[in-house]
Amino acid sequence: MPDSLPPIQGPASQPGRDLDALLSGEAGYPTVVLGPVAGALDALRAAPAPDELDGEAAARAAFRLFMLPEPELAGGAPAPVSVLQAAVAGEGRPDRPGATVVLPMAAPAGPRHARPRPPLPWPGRWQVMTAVCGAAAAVIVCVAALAGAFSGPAGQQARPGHPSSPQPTSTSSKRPTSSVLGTATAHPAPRPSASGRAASPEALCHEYMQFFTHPESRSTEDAVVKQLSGLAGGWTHIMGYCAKQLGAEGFPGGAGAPDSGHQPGHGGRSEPAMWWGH
Amino acid sequence: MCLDLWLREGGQCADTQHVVGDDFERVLADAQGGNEDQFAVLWRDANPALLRYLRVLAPDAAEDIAAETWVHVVRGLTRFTGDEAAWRAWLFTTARRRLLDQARLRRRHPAEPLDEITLAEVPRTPDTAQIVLDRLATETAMALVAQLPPLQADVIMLRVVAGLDTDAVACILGKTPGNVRVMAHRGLRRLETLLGPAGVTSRAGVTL
Repeated sequence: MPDSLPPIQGPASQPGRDLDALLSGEAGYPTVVLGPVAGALDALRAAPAPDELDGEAAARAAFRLFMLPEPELAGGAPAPVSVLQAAVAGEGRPDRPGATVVLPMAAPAGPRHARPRPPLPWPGRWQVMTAVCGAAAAVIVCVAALAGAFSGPAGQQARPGHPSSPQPTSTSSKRPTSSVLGTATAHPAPRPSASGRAASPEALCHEYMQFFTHPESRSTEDAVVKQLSGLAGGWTHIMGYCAKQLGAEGFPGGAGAPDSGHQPGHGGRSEPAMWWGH
Repeated sequence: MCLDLWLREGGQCADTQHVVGDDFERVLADAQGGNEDQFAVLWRDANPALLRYLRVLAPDAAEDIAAETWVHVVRGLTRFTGDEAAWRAWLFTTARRRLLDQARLRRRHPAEPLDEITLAEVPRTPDTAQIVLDRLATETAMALVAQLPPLQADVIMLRVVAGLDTDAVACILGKTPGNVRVMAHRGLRRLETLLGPAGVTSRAGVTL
């Protein structure tokens, strides 16, 4: 069979049949023709050696991994395992199983949002509830603190030019002139009381004027303003009414107030807004 | 495409050896249905030939490629249709694709092989000597075939070990049946030349 021979064409050709028979190992092929080659080919077709069947356990594991039905995975069947088998001769044979490393298979992959979250144990739930309650309490305390802060000095700061430290008049020049809010006087003035309803107009006006230096009690101020509004014929006339009742001495700005008399209101009476509105 | 056509025709042109035999259809159906034992029958039937084929063409990575091949086969097992010849053709086609992938990977990432384990370090079993004696002829024959040009060795192994016919081998290799015959012819001639000085000792101790 020299290399220069043309390709064997068709099964009818005798050399072609011989070649196919030699390669496929058909019985009855005259091995005398190519004895050594036929022997080598027979050796290639020899029975399996033990080491050629070593990987059966790994193949079975792969088969279980990919061919296991879905219901078995989702049900109570034991989870499939991944078997790593060392390449040791004789290992994995049914009659001589070798040492295998069994690893638990990971949970079946799925969308993260679809996985059910395991319920928290009761200690965990109590911890969560305690944390939520603590956070709520902290929020409440913060809100209360902020509300108190804004109703105090901040409320005062919201009034620009508030006469908490009125300029001393000629008659009250001995009074301290501190400009700090809430500390305008060395001696705290008497707090306005809600009992002013039965008091005289002078007392009401005096109480009303005290609110400019001690504006903490809004509810009391509202009650006094309501009474004075009825007496003066409107809240816009309270300042003029009180100026008449108290005179220059009882008026906070007094005659020496910077804006007194310079901002005439309606009807020639100074308006409260005009008095402290600058 | 050639293989697909061949598979659709039911592998009628194949005349390979039927190892599993007439039970192949039932064994395959059971394996596709999840029967692990029947899959093991298919595996024990084909894996030795697969390993020998890969050991000739890729001696360093034969086991890895074989394992990867079986993983691919298992993943596509339920979609396979065909007889035993088609089954073997599909198996060796998958193996050859994994072999080419491995070759490409090695070209991109060349690795330095470690020192080979000496015989003294190989775990010994009581029948190690007998196994070596039994394997001697096969190993020698495989070593001789490995000396052939790659394409000729491929043809010889697919024809002899895998049991595929000329048309199936032509489909797998992307050649014409005439080319396959020529390569088989030349491979045998070269094998005869190689056997001249060396020879292959059979299990009976007779030099062929």
